[in-house]
Amino acid sequence: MFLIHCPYCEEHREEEEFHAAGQAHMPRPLDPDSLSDEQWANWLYYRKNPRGEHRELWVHAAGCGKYFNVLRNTQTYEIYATYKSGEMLEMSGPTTVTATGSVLNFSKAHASSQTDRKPGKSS
Amino acid sequence: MSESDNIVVMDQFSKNIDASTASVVHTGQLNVDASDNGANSKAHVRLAEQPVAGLLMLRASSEEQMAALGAALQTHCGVALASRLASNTSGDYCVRWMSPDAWLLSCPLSDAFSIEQKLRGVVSGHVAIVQISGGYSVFELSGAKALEVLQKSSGYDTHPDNFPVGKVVNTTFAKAQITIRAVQTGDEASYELIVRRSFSDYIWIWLQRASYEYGLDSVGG
Repeated sequence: MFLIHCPYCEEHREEEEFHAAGQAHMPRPLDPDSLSDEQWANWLYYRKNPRGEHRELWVHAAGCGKYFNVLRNTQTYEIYATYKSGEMLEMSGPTTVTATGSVLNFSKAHASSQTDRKPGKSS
Repeated sequence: MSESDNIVVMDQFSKNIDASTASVVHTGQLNVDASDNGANSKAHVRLAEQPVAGLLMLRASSEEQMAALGAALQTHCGVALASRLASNTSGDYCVRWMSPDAWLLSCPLSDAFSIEQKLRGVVSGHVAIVQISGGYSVFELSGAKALEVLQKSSGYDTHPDNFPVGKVVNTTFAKAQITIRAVQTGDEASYELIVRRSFSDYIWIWLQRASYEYGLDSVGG
């Protein structure tokens, strides 16, 4: 049993209800026509595949249907935090080491329009 | 030409519809033999399909639209827009929270078209008011052991501590997706299950088989 916190339902739900939807914070270029083929291909196809901390987009497919961001560790599967689409989590201090493991300290900040934009809004 | 001029809304259901014939299970062909109630002689689970209800999916993208929709609902149906994971019920009307910007309203089938038109009249812009009565089946699962049937069918924690009366969740159920509302808890527990029409026969058979060990009574339809 693997529980994921949905920031919209504000509940922990079964992993079964969710789907991963790739790397988070990938804003669509505002003016695709002005991009070179290489820049366009980089945005369209190239994604990070880190071992360790990674920000991903997940969707609560069987629940509220909303997309949200997950900051998780691809090696240990630990989920540090989930936060709503359009928001950004920044590190607010050094990692706290406890008896049961390390805890990352975050502060929530609204993402700029360049880092994350809601669908339906065009420039 | 305004946006609303491009939308044609029509009543999808005849005035003379016989709700029982619209049932997925009314023929009884999907019913397993419930005459032998497994190990129990007493039936602890009851299962029934509700007559086709009017279902409207309401979506709004701004606070103003939500406020307008909520006010219109209050006026015409006597219910307010429900808050997170909750439902509001008044008589035949029930509004369920589905998502931060979506609600599911149930009403008598005969009222669905007029309510749809009234709600369309109060909001404009990026909203959706769609009648989906034909897309879903509504089951009622009740009885002292109804909770146990839910617990083995869904990964969601449906214990009354976490799932009190009035709460609504969208979750997985068997191998399908479902909307569950707690109508009553305790010995006379009752749950409303809203399933996709195309999954209703599968869920119906699943529920019968899952109820078998507790004794199944009054298979509807």
